[in-house]
Amino acid sequence: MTEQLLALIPVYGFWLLLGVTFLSCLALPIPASIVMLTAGGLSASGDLGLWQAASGALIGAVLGDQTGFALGRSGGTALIGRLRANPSRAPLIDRATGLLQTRGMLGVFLSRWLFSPLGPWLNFASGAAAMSWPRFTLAGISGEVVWVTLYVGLGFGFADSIAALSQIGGALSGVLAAGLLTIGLGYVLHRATHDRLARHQDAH
Amino acid sequence: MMRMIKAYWQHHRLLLLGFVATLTLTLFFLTRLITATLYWSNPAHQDVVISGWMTPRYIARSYQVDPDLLFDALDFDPAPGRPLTLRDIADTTGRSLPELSAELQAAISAARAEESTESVP
Repeated sequence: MTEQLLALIPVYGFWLLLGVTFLSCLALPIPASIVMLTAGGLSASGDLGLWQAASGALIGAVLGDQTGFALGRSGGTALIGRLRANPSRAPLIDRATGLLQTRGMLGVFLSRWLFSPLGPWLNFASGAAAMSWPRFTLAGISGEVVWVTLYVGLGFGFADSIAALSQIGGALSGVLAAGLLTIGLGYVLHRATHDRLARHQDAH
Repeated sequence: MMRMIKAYWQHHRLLLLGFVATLTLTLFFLTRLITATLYWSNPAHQDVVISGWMTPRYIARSYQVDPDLLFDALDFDPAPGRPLTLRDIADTTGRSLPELSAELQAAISAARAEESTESVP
């Protein structure tokens, strides 16, 4: 499937990159990183315009982020309300939405490129937690600029090692995203136990 | 340790399962990262495998040979307009992909052999 997609890059250039990054920002399983690396490689060999590739990828990614945010805002707010209805869950939900509202910009920025597998989910969550739209957009665009420059640029610079780059890069971003989730869940687990023991002691 | 895990299991089952799942995922990607790095650091694996989606110019760039050499080997003139992939060239000239790929490999080997004899004083 990836091969067929790659074969379309020289044909549809800008529009293909736009479509691929758009869909990947909505959590669809599209291999956006290898497409961007390959587009960079094709630009280096003169078969695709570098600006065409980079601008297509960037516009698609930004539009995808905005769509995810809008979906989160329209559908997710009600979901959060339902989750909050359970009193034991409410403090956790409040803490998470509070965190998104105060420190969301850093999270959105880093989840565009460093922890990119988490990006689409953060789009939905930011919309659902009613994060301020200008802050989301500012952090989102700057993060996507880093993401696109990184992948298209690496493909351009190392056109002869795209398979190696995509495998190593894919594994590395998997380690980073899953590692961050592990640390986060470990922390929540620790806090939850701490809170439970504190409540237990208060009761005595 | 066992008591702690037991307490987690009793009071925060979902969180514990999530933690174990993400930890497993992290270790899985870590293994992949190590094997991929080892595989690609072997010089024998560093040449790209020619495949249908590639354009001749891209293959030339990957193998660091002159693109014209590859167009000659394919007996194909790059027409202006959109770049053609190897599969497009196979389709328009009625040849098979393995055939074209073998021709390219031969041309690349010849170019490399020539280059290595040139560099010997």
